Amino acid sequence: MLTGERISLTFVDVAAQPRPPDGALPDAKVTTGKDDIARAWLAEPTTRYDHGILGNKIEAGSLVIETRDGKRQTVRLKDDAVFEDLEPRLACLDRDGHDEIVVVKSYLKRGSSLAVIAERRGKYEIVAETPPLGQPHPWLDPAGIADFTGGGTIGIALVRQPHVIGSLELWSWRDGALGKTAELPDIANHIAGTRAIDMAALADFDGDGIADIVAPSLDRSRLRVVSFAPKPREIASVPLPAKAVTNLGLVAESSGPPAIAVGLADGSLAVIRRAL
Amino acid sequence: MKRLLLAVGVAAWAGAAQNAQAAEWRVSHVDAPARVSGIETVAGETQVNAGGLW
Repeated sequence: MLTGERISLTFVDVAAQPRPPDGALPDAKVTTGKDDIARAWLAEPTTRYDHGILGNKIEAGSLVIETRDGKRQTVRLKDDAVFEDLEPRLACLDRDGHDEIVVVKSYLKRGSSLAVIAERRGKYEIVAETPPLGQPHPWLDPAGIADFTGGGTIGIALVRQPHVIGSLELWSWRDGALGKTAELPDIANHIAGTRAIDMAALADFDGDGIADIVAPSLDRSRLRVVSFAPKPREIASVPLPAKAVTNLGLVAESSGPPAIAVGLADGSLAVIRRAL
Repeated sequence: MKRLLLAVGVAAWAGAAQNAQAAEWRVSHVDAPARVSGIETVAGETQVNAGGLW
C-alpha cells in the first residue's frame, strides 16, 4: 500500500518454491481457478524444441487440468509442437461461466501460436489457435486477458516477438474463434533467456473504467501505458533511470490507479505513480 | 522463504519526466535492502525478490 510518500512492499530473499505436481515442467507455475477448473499446470517435459527462450530447452509436452471434483485430464500435443510457456492462464472468454485456458503453443517448424483450450463434450481440447508465426523460434508472450475495449468482448493481449518486433496485438474471442482486432508497436514483456514472462500488467490507469496495459518499450528504457479504448493509443510513456529487467508488480494506492513496481538493470527498484 | 515487510521512503528521480505525458507520472526510487533480482505477484500481492538480505 502506498500512502502519500510512504510505500510498503514485501521483500523476500528466497522466493517460495512449492513442490510441483509429479511430472510437471520444472519451475512451472500451478494456476488455480475459482470455477470448474481447480488447478492446471504444464507437464511432460521435453527437449524436442531447440529454442530455449525461457532460459532452458525444456518445454512442456502436455497440459494437466484438475477439475473441481478432483479428476484430471491431460491435453497432450503431437510431436510437432510444445507448450513454450510457464503457466496456463484461466479466463472465461465467452462469459458462459466455464473457464477456458490460454497457453503458448510452439510448432517446431512454424513457431509460436496462442492456443485456447476448452471443454467440449466433457473433454478438454484445443479449440482455437492464432496462426503460428511462420518459422522456427519466433515466439509470443501473452500480456493479459480482459475487456480492453469496454464493448463486452474479452480480448487477449499478446506481444509478438517481444525481443525483436515488439508488437502488442489484441486478439478477440468471438463465436468460438480468435481474431486480431488491434495492434500497437514498441512493446516488450520478456527478456530472451529469462523466466520472467510477466513484464506487463493490467489496470485502469486513465480512469475510464476499462483495463489498460503497462509494459516496457521494446528497448525497455521506458514504461508505456497503453489502451485499446476507444482505439489503440498511448496514455503515457515514462522514461526509466535504467532498463527494466523484471516482471512488473502493481501496488494499490489509497486512491487512483495503482503504482507500478519494476526492477532495473542497475539492481535498484523503481515505483512509477500517476501524479493526481 | 524469509520475508521482510518494509515501509520505506521514496525519493523522486530527477530528470525522469521529460515530456508532457511523463510529467503526469513520477518515477521514484525505493531503497531496497539488496539488489533486486525479480518481482512476483503472489495471491495478488507484489513481492520483491532481493537476495542476500540475511
